[in-house]
Amino acid sequence: MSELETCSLCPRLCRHACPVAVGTGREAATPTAIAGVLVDHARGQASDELARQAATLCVDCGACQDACHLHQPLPSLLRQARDVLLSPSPGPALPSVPSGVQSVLLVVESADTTLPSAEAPSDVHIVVCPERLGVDHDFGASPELDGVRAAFTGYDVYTMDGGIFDVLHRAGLEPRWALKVSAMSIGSCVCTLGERPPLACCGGRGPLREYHPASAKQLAWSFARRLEPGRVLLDTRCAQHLRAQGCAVDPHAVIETGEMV
Amino acid sequence: MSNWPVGDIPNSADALDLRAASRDLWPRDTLAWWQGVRPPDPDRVYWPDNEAQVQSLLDHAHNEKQAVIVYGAGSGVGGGARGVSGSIVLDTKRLDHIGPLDTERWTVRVQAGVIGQHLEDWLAERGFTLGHSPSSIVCSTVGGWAAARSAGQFSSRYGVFEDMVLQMRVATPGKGTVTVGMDGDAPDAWMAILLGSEGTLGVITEVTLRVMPIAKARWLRGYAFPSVETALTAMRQLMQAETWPAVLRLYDPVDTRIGGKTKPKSDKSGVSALTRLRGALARIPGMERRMLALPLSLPRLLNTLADIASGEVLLIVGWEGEPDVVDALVEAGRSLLEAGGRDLGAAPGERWFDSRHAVSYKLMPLFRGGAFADTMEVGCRWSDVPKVYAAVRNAVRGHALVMAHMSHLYPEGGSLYFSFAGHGDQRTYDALWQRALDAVLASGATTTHHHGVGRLKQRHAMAEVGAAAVGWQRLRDLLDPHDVLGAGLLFCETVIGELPHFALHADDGLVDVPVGACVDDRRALAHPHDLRWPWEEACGLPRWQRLAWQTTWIDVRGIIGGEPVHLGRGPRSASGSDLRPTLVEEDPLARVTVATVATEGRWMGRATVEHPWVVARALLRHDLRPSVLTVVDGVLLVGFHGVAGRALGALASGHVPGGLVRTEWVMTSLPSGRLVACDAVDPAVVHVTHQCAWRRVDE
Repeated sequence: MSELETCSLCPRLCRHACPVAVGTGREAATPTAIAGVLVDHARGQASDELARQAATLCVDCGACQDACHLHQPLPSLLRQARDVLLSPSPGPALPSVPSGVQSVLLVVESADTTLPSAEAPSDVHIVVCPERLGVDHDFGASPELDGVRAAFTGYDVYTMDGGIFDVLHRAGLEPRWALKVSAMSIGSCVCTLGERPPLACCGGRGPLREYHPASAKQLAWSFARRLEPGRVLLDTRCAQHLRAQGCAVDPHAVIETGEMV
Repeated sequence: MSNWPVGDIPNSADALDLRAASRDLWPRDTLAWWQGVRPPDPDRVYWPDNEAQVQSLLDHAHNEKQAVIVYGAGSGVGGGARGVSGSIVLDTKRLDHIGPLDTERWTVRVQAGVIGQHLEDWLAERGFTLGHSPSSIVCSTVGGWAAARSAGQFSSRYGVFEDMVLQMRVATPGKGTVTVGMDGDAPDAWMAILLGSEGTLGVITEVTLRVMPIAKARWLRGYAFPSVETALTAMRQLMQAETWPAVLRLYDPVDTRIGGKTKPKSDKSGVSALTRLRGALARIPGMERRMLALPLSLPRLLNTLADIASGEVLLIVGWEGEPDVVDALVEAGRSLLEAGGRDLGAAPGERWFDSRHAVSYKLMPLFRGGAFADTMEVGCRWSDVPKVYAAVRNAVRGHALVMAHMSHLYPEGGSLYFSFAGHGDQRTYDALWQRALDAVLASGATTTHHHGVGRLKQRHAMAEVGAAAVGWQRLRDLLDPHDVLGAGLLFCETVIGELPHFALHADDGLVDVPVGACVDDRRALAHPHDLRWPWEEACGLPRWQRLAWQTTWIDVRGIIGGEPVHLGRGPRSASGSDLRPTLVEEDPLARVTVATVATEGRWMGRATVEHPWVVARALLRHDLRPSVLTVVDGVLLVGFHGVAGRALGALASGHVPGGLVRTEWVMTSLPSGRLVACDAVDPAVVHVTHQCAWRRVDE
């Protein structure tokens, strides 16, 4: 509770980094405001419904923790809160990893997407990741994370998707970022090979999309507006989501996964 | 409310959004919330996506007489930006477009809801900076900066926020959307009243701002001084000698001691045992809170111990800009600093720079521990600094631990920034502030330098402004006749009562003159000094036509409705709008103080060049700040005051085709009256800024 209290008393020093607060303009979406409602909930001054609404405004991108000088673990605290406040969703099917392969590239597309057209380097094996390791399901601790850990331990795992990176990281693995590009986040993020990437948010992830569809749409619009010339989307899923929300996305601004390998 | 919501303007009456809009960053509300008291919610929150929607909402509010509170990022620390019961909240954060950036003129257009850090990041990607760096930069909006007259940590170089505003678009309930400032359609005089009006006259939707290329060089240093007095002398000399440091921050003995600021970062001596003990105690369940609560409940003892332990004080000083200009200013500045100070090297300066926005992270443990913390910043003249410092410390030492630093410096004075840490409830908090602000006004300072008024300082701001509030009220009657915006905020009533007036002191570099005196008469009164900025008329030029460091009047004293009024008790006041022009307009016999400058060592050069105003602008753009930069009979004149004058003259000469020829000082004046922007090769040019040249309207 003390960590949440600290966030609730903060003068909103990470609000500029939160894609939901910035993209929607909602004061309620600032990490400080979310933490404040959960503190009130804990001391009986806010309803379960209000706490659920607050906790589901977070898209779990980790930007608040990255921006915080104290590195407050608010993303994990909100994950825990959602675990308590929301009914659990089914876990995803995990990818199978061929035996003997030492490097694995997790493709960001979901299972029904075709494989990238380009050839991967010979020492990298591509695994199509069904359900994106459950990123959309916002699952938290075991047993799903245990499954991820078991599936990939012993391999050099590369990924080009911030959400998947986060799941792998939470599973205790040390994935590597497969790309070296200027990224596309609302903030001033730059992805760099070998370093932890910015966990950019496209607004397409639940539970924001599920519980706050208007905010998810606003966030998508805000994000699309910031796609300036020269910036690219790494993820065709992201582009699909933006288009589904009615945003015009320049085809040239979307780089197919295969081209990035 | 009838006929609400309005059209298709995004809005919400969800409990989540209403409760979020019910608080700003007023520590009193944070304290209350932490102790279980939540303020009442507003009725609805609106997020207009564009200026037309803002105007539509205000039109509707005007017709329905619906109270509106304007909300940016809610970083106000005085309770003025919170939604209140019965009001709707107009949240500006979806007005978030930046651009275009004019790289030729060095201007950028920005919508009001843009978060400060986003603007600075956006400019940095393009090689520019606004130079505005308040500690709230990550959690405040550009519109809020204008509405509350913000000031950033580098204000001595870049100016305070109103120095950066060239033009402002403002939506009003009564007169539609107006443009003030450069190329504006509203009276020039409105600008000074709209800036700082804290959401009571209109909704700022967009501003056009001056920007600068990112500085190529930065020099930061720490100096230890044996006492506050010796450090103040060095600071005053640096400012009055026109060395224009970007950063000048003096920490009082308590602040220096608590921060361990004069020690290198690696030096743990003297604090390690205490730190270890504190760490060990904090691991005992429940102890962390008591560790804070116990000492802060004995503030008088704590302040006495701090006084006893006091030692030398730390001054952080820094210059930035073009490398050759920085070198020249550092060289000149060092001679003044080392007369009384001890060079601590670059580490303290770099340490301050790296952590300059981190101070806010220290607040949360205090509140969690049942304590509270707050800050108070006031403006005062050099001669009043010791008096104000002592008065505030004595007034609150029984209520909170108090320390201070001084920053935001001007040739005439600066801002004293007090930090309080206390223990108790809202009553303790209120008593502390009442005593502190009473002491501020009684000792000759302004109620606020750059945090604004809100609800916290409302009565004292009204006392400071007095009958001059009529200037704000008249504009409110015009722009918001139904009182829908920020009802009950700012100068909602007039407090009459004469505040103490202290005589001028030689240290302040000011001279008292009749406002109607011509430049020659003002010069004669300033003798043996000269006028620092010899405007043809005392009013000079509107702010957006001046260079950031050029000032007109400081104090203005006059009579309105039979009541004496004294504005400008310090070099800057953010007690709402700047109403000094109102006072002068009301009382043609008013007296004003204007800045003077010593004439020893001044340097002037002359050159006959093609397009002299083009060359003049190039000098400004090379970071030079001449005291004189004008053209007389086709000859370019460039003059500098102070210890760096000769070196800066040599630098300037290198940027003038054929160089500058040293000449005797020529008495010149600066233009006043109405000017319009023009091309720098226009033969009628009379004035130049970084953005453009200016000529008189009637030529």
